[in-house]
Amino acid sequence: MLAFAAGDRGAFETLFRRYTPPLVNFLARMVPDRARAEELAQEVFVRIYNARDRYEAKAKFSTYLFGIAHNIALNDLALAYRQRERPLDQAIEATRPDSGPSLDDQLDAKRKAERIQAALAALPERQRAALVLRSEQDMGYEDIAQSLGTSVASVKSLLHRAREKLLVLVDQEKPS
Amino acid sequence: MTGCSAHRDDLDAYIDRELTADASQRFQTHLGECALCREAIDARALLDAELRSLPRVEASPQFEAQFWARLARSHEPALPWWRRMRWVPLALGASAAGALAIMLFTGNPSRPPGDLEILANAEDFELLLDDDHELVMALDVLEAWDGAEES
Repeated sequence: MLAFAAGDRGAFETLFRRYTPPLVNFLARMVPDRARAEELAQEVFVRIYNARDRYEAKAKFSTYLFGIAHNIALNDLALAYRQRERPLDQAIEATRPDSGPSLDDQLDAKRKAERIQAALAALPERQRAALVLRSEQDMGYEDIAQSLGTSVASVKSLLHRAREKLLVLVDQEKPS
Repeated sequence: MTGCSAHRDDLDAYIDRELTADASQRFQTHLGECALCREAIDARALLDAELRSLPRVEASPQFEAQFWARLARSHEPALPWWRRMRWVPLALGASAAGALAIMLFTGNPSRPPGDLEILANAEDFELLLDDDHELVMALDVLEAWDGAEES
C-alpha cells in the first residue's frame, strides 16, 4: 500500500487481486444480497484508491481494508433498514434454506452449509463480522479489534456471544 | 454449551489460540476434570470446522471491469449547480400542465347539469310539469274534436 501511495499503480493492482476474494466473501456474509456485496466491495477499493495520499501505515493493510468494509456494510444495512426497502428480518429469512419435506432426508454437505449460513445471517452484525473475520479470515483478536474499531476485550465478548447464539440457532435448525 | 462458570471466558480464547502458554496449560488441565467445558470446547471446535468449510462467495467475472468503471466515474468532476438544476424548468412545466388539466376537467361551466342540480331547481321542474300537462290537455281536446267530426 505504501508503494501505491508513492505512485506505483501496479502495487494497487496486486492488492486488488489479492484481497478481492476475501473482501467479497466477507461482504457477502454481511449483507443479504450477493450483487450488493460486490458493489460494496468495489466501493471499498474506490475509497482506498482515492484516499491513497492520506494512508498511514498504522496497522496491517488487511485490518485497514476490513475496517472500511465493515463500516460500509453497517451503513448499507442501516440505510436499507431505514428505507424499509428490505427489512433485515426479511433479508435474513430470505437466506434461510427451504424448509420442506426434504429436511427429512439425510443431511448432505450442501444442506449443512445452508443451515450454518442461515444461522450466521441471523447473528447481530458486529458479532457476525467478528466471527467471519476470525473463522474465515483467520484474523487474531488484535487485528479484529482494529478492524471493528473496538477493544480486544470487546472482541472476546463478541465472539463468545456469537458462538453461543450460533450453536443455539444451528441446533434449532436441525431437522427433528 | 457455555462451560463452567469459572472458565467461561477462556473457552473462546482457547479455541482461537489466544491464551498465553501458561493460561492454555492451566485450561488444558481443567478440561481433564470438567465435563461441561469439554462439551463446550467440542461444540465450538465442530462449529468452527463447519464455518471454515463453508463455500466461499467468489466475485463475478465482471467484478474487476465494473470496479475500474466505478473508479473512473468517481473521478468525473461534479457538475456545477446550474447544470444540476436543469430539471427545474421541466418540473415547472409539468406542474403547470397538470394544473391546467385539473381546471379543464373540473371547472368547465358548459357541461350538462347533473340530476342533483336539476332537483335543486324545483321551481323550474314544476313549471316543466305544468307545460307538459297543458300540452296533454290540448291533445285530448284535438282527439275529441276529430272523433266528433268522424261520427
